[in-house]
Amino acid sequence: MTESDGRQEDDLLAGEYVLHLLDPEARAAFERRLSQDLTLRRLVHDWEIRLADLAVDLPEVAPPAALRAALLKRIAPEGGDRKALPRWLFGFGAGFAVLLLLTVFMAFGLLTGPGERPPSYLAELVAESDGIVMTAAYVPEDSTLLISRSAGAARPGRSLELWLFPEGSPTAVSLGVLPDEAEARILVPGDYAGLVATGTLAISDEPPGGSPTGSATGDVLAVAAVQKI
Amino acid sequence: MTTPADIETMIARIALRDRGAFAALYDATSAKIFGVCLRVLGNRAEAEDALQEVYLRVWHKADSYAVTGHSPISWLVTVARNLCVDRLRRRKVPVQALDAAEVIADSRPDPEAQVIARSETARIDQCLDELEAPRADAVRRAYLDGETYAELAARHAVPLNTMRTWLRRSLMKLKECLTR
Repeated sequence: MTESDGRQEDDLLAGEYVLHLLDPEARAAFERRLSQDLTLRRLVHDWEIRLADLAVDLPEVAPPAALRAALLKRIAPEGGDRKALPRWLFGFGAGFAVLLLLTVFMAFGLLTGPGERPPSYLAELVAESDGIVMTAAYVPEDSTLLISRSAGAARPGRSLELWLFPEGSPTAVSLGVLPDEAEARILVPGDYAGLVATGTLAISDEPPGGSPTGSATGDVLAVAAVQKI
Repeated sequence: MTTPADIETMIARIALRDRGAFAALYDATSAKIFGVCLRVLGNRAEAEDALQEVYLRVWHKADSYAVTGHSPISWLVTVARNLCVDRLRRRKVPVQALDAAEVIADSRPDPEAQVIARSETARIDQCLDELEAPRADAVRRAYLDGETYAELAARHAVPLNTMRTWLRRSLMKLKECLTR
């Protein structure tokens, strides 16, 4: 099979995957590849976008009013405790999560070495526009973020800056400019260390050395909520 | 009038746990999403459950929106359609799939009626119209009814491999037409 045959086959598989036509075994095998292959994910997103138009023009139907109240109650801070939510929420993307964890444990197993604490929290930052795939794993005991970039880099002559949105806060605090190296450790300042576990991380494209203003000035490339491992 | 840019802003704010933005997104989009759930599931009670599931997923996964390249409505519709097809699959007993296809066959609107019911401006419809009618029908049924290769093959009375070949060729033609 030539390289272009392989690409066409992947494109067809992506279409069949989006249509949910693969048998369970083939679907699981495809999902395993998806979790590691950004190009394949792009093909899937492209088919999703093409085919979504089949549903976009369906007639609208107003749902019963009681549903709205029930939903808002389920996301409220008290009744909406994450632990009380149904299991399927955590099943979502389980395939991705397991693979990601394996990758992270392998990567940080090497990075941290014996005797160091393992991370307890994780965010996967993916910027398809710039081909960046990065995980940020947090070790709360050391207030340290372990950064592992498996693909992509800052734009030429630019820097990548890491941001933390504390839970419920519309504004971000800078956690610093990411170094060029694929693996890095970032010490989170004491004021913010307790906010990482429930927060959201983001990376933005900034002038060399980082944003001159204290908030993101360039494109926000990726945003990911921090999850408990 | 809510614009796609407004909806994008709502999704971005939901990623930051803004409940007000979540309520606003629900108000702006729930009728469309409920329409999709009803169409795919064909059952009101189940569509109501699915609708809640869709918005809870949006609440928890809003941060994944930015990386997909979708327009906001296309993303919401995709989340809804995928969840509803998953539900369809769970409720089908695999061994009975072929029989079920025969039973369902008569209870759905025929492909022609469906085409008329849909907006004529959508490009995907124009491109599907370039395919032979049974092949376009197979793509629609796979997407909107979650039908399997086995069900589609039974419906069109062709061997399963033939159906797969048809559908894969249709996908390539469709892509070629949409990117023309």
